[in-house]
Amino acid sequence: MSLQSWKDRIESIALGLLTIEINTIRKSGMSAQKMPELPIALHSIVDCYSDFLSSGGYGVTQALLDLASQRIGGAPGVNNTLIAWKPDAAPLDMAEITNGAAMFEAMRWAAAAAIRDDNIVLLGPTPEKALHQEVRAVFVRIVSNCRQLVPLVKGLAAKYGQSNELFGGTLEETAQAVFSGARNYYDETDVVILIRKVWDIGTETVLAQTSVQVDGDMVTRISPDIEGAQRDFLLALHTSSVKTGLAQWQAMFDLVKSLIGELGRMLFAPRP
Amino acid sequence: MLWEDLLRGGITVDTPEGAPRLRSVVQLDGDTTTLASAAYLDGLAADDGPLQALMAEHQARVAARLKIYASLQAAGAWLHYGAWAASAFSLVIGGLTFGYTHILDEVAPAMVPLTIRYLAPRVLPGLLKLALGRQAGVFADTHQEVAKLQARRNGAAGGAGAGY
Repeated sequence: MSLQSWKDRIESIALGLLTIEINTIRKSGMSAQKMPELPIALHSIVDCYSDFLSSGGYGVTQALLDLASQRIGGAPGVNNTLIAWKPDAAPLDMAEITNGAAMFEAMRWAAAAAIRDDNIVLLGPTPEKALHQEVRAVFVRIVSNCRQLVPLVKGLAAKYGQSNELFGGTLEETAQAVFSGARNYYDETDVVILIRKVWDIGTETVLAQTSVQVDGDMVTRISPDIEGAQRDFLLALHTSSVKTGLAQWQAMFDLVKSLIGELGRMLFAPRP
Repeated sequence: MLWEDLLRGGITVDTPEGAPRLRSVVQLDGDTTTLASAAYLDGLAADDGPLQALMAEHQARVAARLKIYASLQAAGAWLHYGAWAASAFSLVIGGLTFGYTHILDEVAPAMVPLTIRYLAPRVLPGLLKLALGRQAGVFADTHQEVAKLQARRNGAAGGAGAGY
């Protein structure tokens, strides 16, 4: 994802319009709080992911963080070490973790290690000891989201970093930078959309998901974990969300269509 | 509020307001996430009536908030037609000064699209940033989130999921 020009941003949003994804999630600990500013939202995501990784026995260690820093710095020969990484030390102290690109890279490899080890169990003599499929799905999600967030956070740090306090500092450093008034990073619409998606879903289990592509293909996945008594309600809620998402999608297409129509009339309409 | 929704990358609708049992997030590109409070669902597992009433209320709230995008479209249309009106006005002034033939033949065709193209990416972010000074709600949420994260990292509180 580029942070360079309006053209790139519009292109990114346009590409996002090719498919829509509607998720219904059952969430514990829900309150009225809304998404904070981007640097703090990234800290929330780090907090959430590292908590999940640690509880699964794959917390980010200092050694892994160092390797991740080397990799995003372009050091050669680090990949094999990362692929073979095992959680053989205590996880980082929570007070030391940052919202920088290296942390997201490290979490990506920690989750990848969990999936690798689960694959070994699945192929071994006791596949019943493998991870529950919903837990495994969260590890996969962490890998996927961190892969997208690394270049994005690197770009933000390069553009707005202020000595990497906003996008690469500890919580205390970032909070201080944010509250000191450095709030000039709001024009990155595509960045906000991606971080918002990652922040919204966190490590919660997706109960129902519908993906609709621009050519009309539609895929709906429903978790077998939906409890019987709430099943009807949650599926009705999901159906309602699909209608809402499609209506919003239609509105965006109508807007694009009207702009293109206006341009066509301007260029090709017969002159009096 | 429109500016807050844009800052946060999508519309957030909580039902009921203040202590949500349902939350929907509708993003600019149509992606939609709906969250149901586990505690509330568990508490009402045997009774379907309140759930249906809650969902109906939530649907109405979402529909009402989506109208905000219609406002955005209307604002875009006004910007579009405003730009054309300003261009036409400039042509009239220029025409009275230099002669319409000269303006129409040489200057206007080149200047109008260039001016729009030059100003749009510069003026719109400026307006957005100007509006940020009034976003007390966003900053209050940031303070709240920092306090919560600090508490969690110090081991004083638990909770699952990013953010709320």
